[in-house]
Amino acid sequence: MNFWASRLILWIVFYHLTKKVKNVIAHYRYNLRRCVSAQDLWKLEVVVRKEDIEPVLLFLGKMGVAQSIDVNGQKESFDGLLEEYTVPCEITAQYSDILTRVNHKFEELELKPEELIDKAPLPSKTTLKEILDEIEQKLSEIESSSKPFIETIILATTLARKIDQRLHAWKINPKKLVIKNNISFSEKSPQEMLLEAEQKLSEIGSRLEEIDKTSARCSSILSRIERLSKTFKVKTKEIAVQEVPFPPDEKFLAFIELRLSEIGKPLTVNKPKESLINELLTIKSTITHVMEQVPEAKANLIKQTLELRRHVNMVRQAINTIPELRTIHLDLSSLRDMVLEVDELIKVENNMARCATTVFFEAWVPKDQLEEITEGIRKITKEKCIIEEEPPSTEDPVPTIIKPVPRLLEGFEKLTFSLGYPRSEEINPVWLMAITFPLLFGIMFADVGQGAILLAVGIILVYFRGKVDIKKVGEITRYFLVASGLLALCGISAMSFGFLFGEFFGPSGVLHPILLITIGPFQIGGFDPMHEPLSMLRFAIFVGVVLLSLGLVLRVLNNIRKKQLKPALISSCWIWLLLGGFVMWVYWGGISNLTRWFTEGSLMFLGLMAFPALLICIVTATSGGIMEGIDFSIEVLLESLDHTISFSRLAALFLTHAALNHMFLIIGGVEHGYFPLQSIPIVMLGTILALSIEGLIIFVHTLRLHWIELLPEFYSGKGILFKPLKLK
Amino acid sequence: MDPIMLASIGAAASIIASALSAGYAIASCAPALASVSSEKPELVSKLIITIVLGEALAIYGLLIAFMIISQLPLVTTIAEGSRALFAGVAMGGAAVGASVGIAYCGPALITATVERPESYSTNILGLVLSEALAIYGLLIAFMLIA
Repeated sequence: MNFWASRLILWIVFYHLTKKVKNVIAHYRYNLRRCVSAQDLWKLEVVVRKEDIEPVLLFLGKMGVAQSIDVNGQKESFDGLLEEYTVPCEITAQYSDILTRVNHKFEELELKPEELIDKAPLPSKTTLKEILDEIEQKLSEIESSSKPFIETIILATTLARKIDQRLHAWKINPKKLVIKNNISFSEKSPQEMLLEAEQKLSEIGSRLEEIDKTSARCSSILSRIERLSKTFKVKTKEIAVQEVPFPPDEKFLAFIELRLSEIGKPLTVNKPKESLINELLTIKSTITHVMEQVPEAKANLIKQTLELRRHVNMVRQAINTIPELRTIHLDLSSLRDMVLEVDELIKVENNMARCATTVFFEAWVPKDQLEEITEGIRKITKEKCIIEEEPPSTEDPVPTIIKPVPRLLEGFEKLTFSLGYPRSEEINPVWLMAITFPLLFGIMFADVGQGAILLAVGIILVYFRGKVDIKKVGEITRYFLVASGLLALCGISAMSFGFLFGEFFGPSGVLHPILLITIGPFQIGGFDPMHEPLSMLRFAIFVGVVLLSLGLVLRVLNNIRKKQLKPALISSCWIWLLLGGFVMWVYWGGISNLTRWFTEGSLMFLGLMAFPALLICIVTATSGGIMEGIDFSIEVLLESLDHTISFSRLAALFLTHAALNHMFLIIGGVEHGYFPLQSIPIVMLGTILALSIEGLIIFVHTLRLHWIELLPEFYSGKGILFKPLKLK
Repeated sequence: MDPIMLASIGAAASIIASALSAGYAIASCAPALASVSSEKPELVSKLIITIVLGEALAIYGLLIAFMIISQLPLVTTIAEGSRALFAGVAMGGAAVGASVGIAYCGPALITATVERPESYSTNILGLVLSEALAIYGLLIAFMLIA
């Protein structure tokens, strides 16, 4: 019983495991197929009545799966029946008018258009005219509601400018102001606060003027006292100061002036000289005291002005945080988005053609959605339409649906697509690139230590890539974040090749080369390339031939997918020729024994090289003439040779890299894997140089190997991206 | 002639010729790139390859010179000396050839790319093919020294 139970359990576990594994495999196969092969796009040809065209267009936009085709290029094929369909003038005029008004509002509010995450849908109207009318109405609502804010903002700006001018006259830089956040706000509205601030500013101005006037008057009084005391021959002595409020008022000064003129009159008999002198001294000390207070008062006023400037700044900032303004901002941004969507629609309408009262257009639609779309159009036009679906013919430039790749590989995607997008029937080479790019980079950059640094940097960047919004960082940072996965993979590859060739911060002797495998005369790893450069060269050529034949195999696959049998045959012969030449080269021991190819190895030469070349020549000749056949086979021969030799740069750049590091190791005095203390800064310098300049050069060369040798074997890069019209 | 003397001439020839050619290549490409950076700054990262490839020439020359110098104690015969000399000359000469190519193709690539960015992938051929010349020289020089 126990035995059977355990067997049953085992069986259940086994059954579930196999099921799970099957599921996983199916999932991956499905994903792989999705990544490699494109979805089918069919061409939709539609004729509808003129008044129905805009509802149909809006419907297509809402579905978001159709890419319109410019039919005006093929007008000739319709015998002049069709004319270009043009959007009515008043709609384009209204559209551009609204766009200008929206942009102007943004300028007035001193705001920037914001990228909205969830866009507001277009008004649910059926024609562009109605939509634009509604948008315009909304815009005028926003314009009226934003008026008080604009006034306040203008007030704040002018006030700030005024204060700045005054500060400028005092030679104080207002930009150096530190804005403190601890100024408390009262319950007043910003506009009231600004008005108060303006009043305060004018007050400060008038007080300043008053002080200036008083000080001028006081100094004239002082000079008069000087003159008088000279005539009286007064001796200076200390007299108690009489306290006067600052600034002294008009009457006080007038009184003093009067007294002075009285004193100045020829000696008055009534009063003794002594008391006159005393009075004079009192006046003098009082006025001096007043004069002493002037700079302090001025400084106080300047301080107040600065305070005011800060206050204005604070108010200006506070305006931006007002919730109503925030809603206005969001509304404006969404209006702007809507207007841009209308622009998109107008552009699509320009692709159409018309004939009397009907409109004709074409669009690419994925096969799965065809039925839904035709049903929708029929419903909208109430069956008054002609719809034809047809699979793409071979001459049509069918757009390609690019499947998203994992985030780790987006750097490779960028690199591949800067060569161009794949055609719809071509294999998307991003996945191949994700394998070969790190491989080639790793061979040239082989170094355990520096590879580990690259890997660490890559992992840190991958971590930040998930955290940071990529649209909000600077350009250089964005490049690094996008390339994070690429850096990590290249680091791993560089580390593994570093183990194979025994490199640790250059040929330092810490590691010994590990032999991975020996294939004929080709050693993968296990030798020191600095001392055996020819082995390295052989290895590079070997890698080159393997990758080039891989590219050719993909070319055959592409040809088969395009159902072009002749090119498929030619490409297979090309593989034969390439590998045949390679085998000959290996078998007879290099180029130096070239003469023996034609004597002892003539049969082999005929079978491996001459026959495929002849086959290529004949197959090409059947479609294009004998001269073209000869031309093409010579081209194939040359290209195979040229591209293979080009891979020798793997060896050359690896040696460059190793020798550069070797130089720094010698300067630092590193021997037999022992790093003395004083060598570390030098090795660090070498590493920085290797990682920056050398890394850049190797990166460029890896890219070149892909763009010129590897990818063009099977990749045209002449595809068009499938960008369906999408509306909210 | 003294073998050490021959080898030293080789090292000097390698670095002088490569530095001159790198200078020529950069001097022709950098001004064009500078004008791009004011007109279309987004293209600079793509086009900086012209300057990097120019600079690479100097690094190749430096390497060969350094390898010759590090092997100076081993140079005893006239034959070894002349191998070192010709390694340097091969590197320097190849660098000069590559630099002429880069100096003509680089600015043309830059101007063409600014007009039509999609023409970049075809036009870069001239640039990388001229750069390949220096790699050939570098390979032969390596083989001569080793």
